[in-house]
Amino acid sequence: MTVEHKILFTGTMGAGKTTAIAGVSEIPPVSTDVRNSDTSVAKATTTVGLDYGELTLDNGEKLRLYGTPGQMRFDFMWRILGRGALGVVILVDNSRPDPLADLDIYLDGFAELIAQTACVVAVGRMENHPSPGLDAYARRMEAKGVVCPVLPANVTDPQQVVQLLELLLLQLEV
Amino acid sequence: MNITPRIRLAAESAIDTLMREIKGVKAVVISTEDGLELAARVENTAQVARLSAIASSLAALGAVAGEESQLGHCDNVTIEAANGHILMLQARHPEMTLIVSVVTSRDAIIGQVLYFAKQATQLLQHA
Amino acid sequence: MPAANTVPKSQRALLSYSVEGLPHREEVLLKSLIRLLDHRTHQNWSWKAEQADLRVVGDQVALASPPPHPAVPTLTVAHADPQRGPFLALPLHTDALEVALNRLGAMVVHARGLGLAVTEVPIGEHEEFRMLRWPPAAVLEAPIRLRLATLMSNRPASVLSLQQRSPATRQECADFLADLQRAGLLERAASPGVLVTASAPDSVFPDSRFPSPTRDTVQPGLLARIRNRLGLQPSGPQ
Repeated sequence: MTVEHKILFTGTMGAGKTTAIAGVSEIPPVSTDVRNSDTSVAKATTTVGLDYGELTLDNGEKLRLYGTPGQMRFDFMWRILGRGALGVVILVDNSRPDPLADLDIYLDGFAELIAQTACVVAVGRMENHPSPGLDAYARRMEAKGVVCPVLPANVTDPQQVVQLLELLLLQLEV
Repeated sequence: MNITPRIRLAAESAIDTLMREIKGVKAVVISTEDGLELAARVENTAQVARLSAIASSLAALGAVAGEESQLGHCDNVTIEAANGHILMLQARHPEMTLIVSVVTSRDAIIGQVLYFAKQATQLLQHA
Repeated sequence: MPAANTVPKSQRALLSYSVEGLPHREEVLLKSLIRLLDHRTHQNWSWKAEQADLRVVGDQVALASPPPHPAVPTLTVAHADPQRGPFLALPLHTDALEVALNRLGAMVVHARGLGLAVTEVPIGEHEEFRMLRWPPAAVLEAPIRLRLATLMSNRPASVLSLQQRSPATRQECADFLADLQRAGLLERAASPGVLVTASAPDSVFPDSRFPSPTRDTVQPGLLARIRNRLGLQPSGPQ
């Protein structure tokens, strides 16, 4: 299958997928946000389809950035969006009750894509929520047979999002 | 999920009507716009385990398609499959937007399905 | 981006310690205290199951067995001193622990300098290794190492291949692999045709433990174009 030029952002509700894409995309991102009916999460909206942003490369081709819905019930979207992607950025929110369990969901949900392409795990809100630490993440990933960069990141800063993308690209170099 | 009893009752009632009136109906599912099932009735041959989530994605994508093509608000999304149809409509109640999904066999008449589904949607919106 | 350890590599060796024969609660406390002391100890200490630079043992172990390697110091942690060398009394105090670690760490570093270290297996330039786990912050303390570790994600590398694919010098690549080895994070990559048994617990996804090389090839030039568009430096040696 030919590789489309696309990169996925995934992670739990509120982890910053839409924000990350908005910071890097050259078009205002298209989003399919609707009202969140889950009263256990203090967030007004949630993505049910996808977020979409894009960058135009110098030969006119597009690099497409897709944000997936975070909840497991949308894993069919993960499969659809994952087809032919260059790699996936997993955003984790360290302020949640069990971020390692959150990570497991995406490591499992995107297992095939991760094994065949590249992955970066970005942990948000670490300054005020230092635990679990990065080594705990690394060990959790090792248990799933995944070795990939895991680092703290604040995706409201576009430069940090660019650096996440760079780490993704580095893994794809021949 | 904070669904008022009034809306819940209205949803059950809508399902009753649709299951009764639509020829060839296999299932009716009413869900929140973020993909959580509210109420459902299923004939034993139909599989609707994830229809709520799928319908919410399709409804959202339908909305985007309508906007991007500058055709305005998306009324419904219809899927024509080898063995039947799925029709998905949004019911915009002031408290929350719901999605009504109707699954039918091939011998259903789309016009009829649309008519009853829209009627049910209207009633839901005014519940 | 991750905060780098502010003490440069040349001043902070990466050492390992193992624990044998301590009651579970004391072992847990010991490990926590060592982590807490990381900003004060002269070396960085990380736990290793075996073949560590320092053995921390309970008194029964100290009395029972001779040290397995002359250059590996043994620190006994117990209520009473069994007179078998370096000793730390229970209950553990951070100050005493810090002093002991610094003293024994200096001994290990000195022994290394004399070529007596335990786990120094020389790394050939062409030898391919796998990185078992994303390394801890102490190993990643130089920015170039973030790049090197990323290049080793899910793909084997050698000193030479790392040098070819990055702006790092050969010495930097060699030092990085050596530190990974000392941290117990390096494994020889299997040559084709050799049966490999996974040493890690069985993953639910066994194929991802040793990913097949049959990845979709990325269109030539695409990555360079993406880098360019994102304003990133080109990869490879500069």
